[in-house]
Amino acid sequence: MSRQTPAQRYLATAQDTPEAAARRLLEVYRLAIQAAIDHKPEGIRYCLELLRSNLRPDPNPELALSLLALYQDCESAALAGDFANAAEILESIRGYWLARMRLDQVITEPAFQPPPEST
Amino acid sequence: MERLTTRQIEDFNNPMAFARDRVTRIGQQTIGLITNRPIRTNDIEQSFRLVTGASERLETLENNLNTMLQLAREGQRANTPRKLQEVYGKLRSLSAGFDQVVDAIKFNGQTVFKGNDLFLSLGPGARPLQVEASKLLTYGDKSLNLSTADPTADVRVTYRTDDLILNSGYSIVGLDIDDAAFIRGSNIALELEDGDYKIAVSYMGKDSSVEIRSLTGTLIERRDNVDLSGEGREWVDFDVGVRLTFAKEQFLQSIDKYDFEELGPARLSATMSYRRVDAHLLRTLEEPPKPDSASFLFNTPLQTADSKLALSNPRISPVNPTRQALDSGSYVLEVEYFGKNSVIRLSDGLGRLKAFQFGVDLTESGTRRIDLGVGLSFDLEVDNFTNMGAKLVAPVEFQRDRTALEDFDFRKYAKRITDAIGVVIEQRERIDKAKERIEEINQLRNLASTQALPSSLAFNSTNALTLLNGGGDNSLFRPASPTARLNNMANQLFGTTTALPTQANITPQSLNQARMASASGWLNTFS
Repeated sequence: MSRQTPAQRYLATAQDTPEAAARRLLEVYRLAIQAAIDHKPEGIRYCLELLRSNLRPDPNPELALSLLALYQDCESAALAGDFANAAEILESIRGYWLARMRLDQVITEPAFQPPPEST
Repeated sequence: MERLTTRQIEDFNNPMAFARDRVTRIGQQTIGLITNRPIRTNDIEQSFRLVTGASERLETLENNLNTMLQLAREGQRANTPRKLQEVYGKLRSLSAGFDQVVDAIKFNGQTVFKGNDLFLSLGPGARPLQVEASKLLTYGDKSLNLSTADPTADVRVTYRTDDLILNSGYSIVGLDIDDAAFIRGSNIALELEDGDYKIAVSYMGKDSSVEIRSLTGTLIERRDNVDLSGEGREWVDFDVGVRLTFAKEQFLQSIDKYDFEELGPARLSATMSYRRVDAHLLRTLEEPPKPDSASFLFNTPLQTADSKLALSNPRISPVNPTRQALDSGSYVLEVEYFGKNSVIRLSDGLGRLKAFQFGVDLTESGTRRIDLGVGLSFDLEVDNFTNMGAKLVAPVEFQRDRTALEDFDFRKYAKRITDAIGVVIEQRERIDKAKERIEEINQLRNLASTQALPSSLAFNSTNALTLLNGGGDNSLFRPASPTARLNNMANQLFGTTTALPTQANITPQSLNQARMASASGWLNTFS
């Protein structure tokens, strides 16, 4: 099986809607948070590895770097046994993604409808 | 409001009370582009503070209008002139205060409620919120129509140290500039700029001259042949729109004020300050006030082949402070010729004597100005007239600007206040709706960590008003996460449209594997 380029991989996943992709992302965070709650460092590492491998720096390098650093913080906390901190970081990141999704929905609806033009 | 004293009522009804500074010349329009640009906020925090502060101030304005409505109703029931004056004075004060509050609601130095739309930023990725802002001033076009801005000027004459030093060089007695005033209806193109000017008087009895000069000595306007001799008052009108009132006294029989024939003219100095203002008046008449005017309805001189007694040039003149001003209406002017003891009478339509001058010397031929001191003056021409007992009669139509209170209809004003309250309530509803919208957007954006979020309680009125007053640098929207990294990440997440392709690339297969691993308790992972 030939190795896919990043662009091909993105296109393969982007065949479904952006909402579905975002929901899958949220689900991975949820699994990671659950692993932190259950004090399962291997689960946290699995999820973080999955997130790292699916990180694409091309669209937004700064965001990718920030996320990488945060995942590193989270992994360090998990390895040190500070599961509460790891869960908090993951919960925050998940919350931002969730807010971003909802915001995208809200801003597509106009705040105040312009008055109908008189004919 | 408590009862006002007589002095307070007088102060409240002074035409110059509550006057506002006027930047432009009378009739001059300001450039619309500068004053009518929309107001834009830079971020969601500014937007929230603006609407919160504006909502608070609108509540104050609504309360102010409700007080004015109560007063207007009180005015409808008032049946004494004093009570009417008191209520009118209070309404003037409250409406001026209302404008001050509206003017104080500023954002980046721009008044918020002057009819310019507001564009409230909701942060990156969201379209700004457009809110219509009414013009809430009580005066001007498209405003609440509760007052009028009457262009006038505050003119005062004082003697400064340099004037006193100059004047002390002449031992002149019995001459003083008593008053200075703005002349309504003067040539607006010549109106003086705000500032100080010098009044230079060259006293030579009946042939004196008065000049207005700039502080650097440049002549602005000069009036010659001003009669500053004798006793009484002399009004000097300048085309620049200033009227000076000279008070004259003659203490000595031999010398009138100063021996200019022996010593040359006395050159006196005074300082005049001129400030353009808009008087704050409450009117309920729809049409603008009629200009002052005086005219003879018909005027037939008494004349023979070689003699003549004629009236001409009726005009409005300043009222002597010791006399009562004439009301608008029709009057009859009579001149009875008795040589040195001629009589001039002014009676109203019912024959009541309104003004008179006895002992007027009309023996010398020539034209003289007669000022009755009640607001009417005219020229009287005598040419070899000797017919004792002759009577010249001329009906006069006299129109004087009535005070705003005389034509004030409290019922009509109460109706206007009710309409204004409706406008303010409507504006407040629009602002509150915008506030809810901003809160909603902010809540969604900060859903991740609610413990560090600025809550509605944090947006108290003090903070909001600080921003409206142009200050305040303590940020309410503090970092939404305890770590700076999370903060950075959040900014990047919301500040771009490329966030999703950066991370949301997980395939369904990968997710299924993760779910299975989780279900198995993460066994055999990373062996």
